[in-house]
Amino acid sequence: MSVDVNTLLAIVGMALATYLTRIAGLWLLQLANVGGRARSAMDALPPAVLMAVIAPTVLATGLAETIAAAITIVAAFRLPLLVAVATGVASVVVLRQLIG
Amino acid sequence: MTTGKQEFLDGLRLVLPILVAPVSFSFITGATSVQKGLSAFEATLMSASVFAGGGQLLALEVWYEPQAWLLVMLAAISINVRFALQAASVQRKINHFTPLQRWLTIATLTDPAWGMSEVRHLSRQVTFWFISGITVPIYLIWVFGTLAGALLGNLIDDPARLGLDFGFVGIFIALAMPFWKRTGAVPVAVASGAVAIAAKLAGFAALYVFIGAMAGVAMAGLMAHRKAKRAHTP
Repeated sequence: MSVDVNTLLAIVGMALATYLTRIAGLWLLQLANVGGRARSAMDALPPAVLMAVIAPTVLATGLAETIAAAITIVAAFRLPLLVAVATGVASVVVLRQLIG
Repeated sequence: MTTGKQEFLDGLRLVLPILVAPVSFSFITGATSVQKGLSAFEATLMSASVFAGGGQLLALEVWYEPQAWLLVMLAAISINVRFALQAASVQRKINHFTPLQRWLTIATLTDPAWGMSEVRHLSRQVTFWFISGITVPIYLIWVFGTLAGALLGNLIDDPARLGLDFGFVGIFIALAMPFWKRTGAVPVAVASGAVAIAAKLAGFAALYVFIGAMAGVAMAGLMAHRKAKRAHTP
């Protein structure tokens, strides 16, 4: 069991930084409590974050990822979550072999 | 009125199918950590205290000896900025929690805990035990999976070859499904997706998620504004 002081500092720094990103959300509370337009904007947060994570990987990584994502979307409409995700993972492996 | 136990089992049932993601992800994180020169104990300590897969892997990418720990912190912040948005969004749904429950929920927030709470909120009230049913198994798997990966070392040398890197995208795609039924979802999705792609191509390493999401939120605000204006003009 070895612990390097520099490594420990880096880990503590990361833990602190990550904790702050989570807790910072509470400070956005004031934003969330307003009605009307701000309310609509807050309601749009979940799909907006999801799309911002998905879109670059799906559309700007490679053809294999784009096709695999399309397959995952179709699968997600019909199949349980795990099966849809597994289908996506399997198709990306096959497509990467085929397309490179 | 449902009991805490039922709620916990509800969360557990929902998270079970996707636990394959933290299992493989934590294993890779552990293996990568020892490759970068961390000890198995340090790798496990990192997973137990940071508890954020994307941030940890990105930080390990920029992990050099001696540690550029400012760079490592920036890496963690840039990819985890989405947590701030997710926490802001989910905390409106957990106002009825005790302060301790709310703090625990936010301090351990994960993508699945957030996503599944948002989806559940569409039909019923979110409880602390429901979120615990999601977070507890993920946390245990995350810590022990990292340890296993660190101990077993380099068995998985290329995660992309096994498609494991795509698992996380697949989960997000599946999680996004219920939101498509809401009105105005398409313009928001197009705005955040297009801007996120542009930001990533422009070189905003991991900040692209934040930039894209802000564009989507701005689009929703704009749409609400125009709707309000239309309502005022006969």
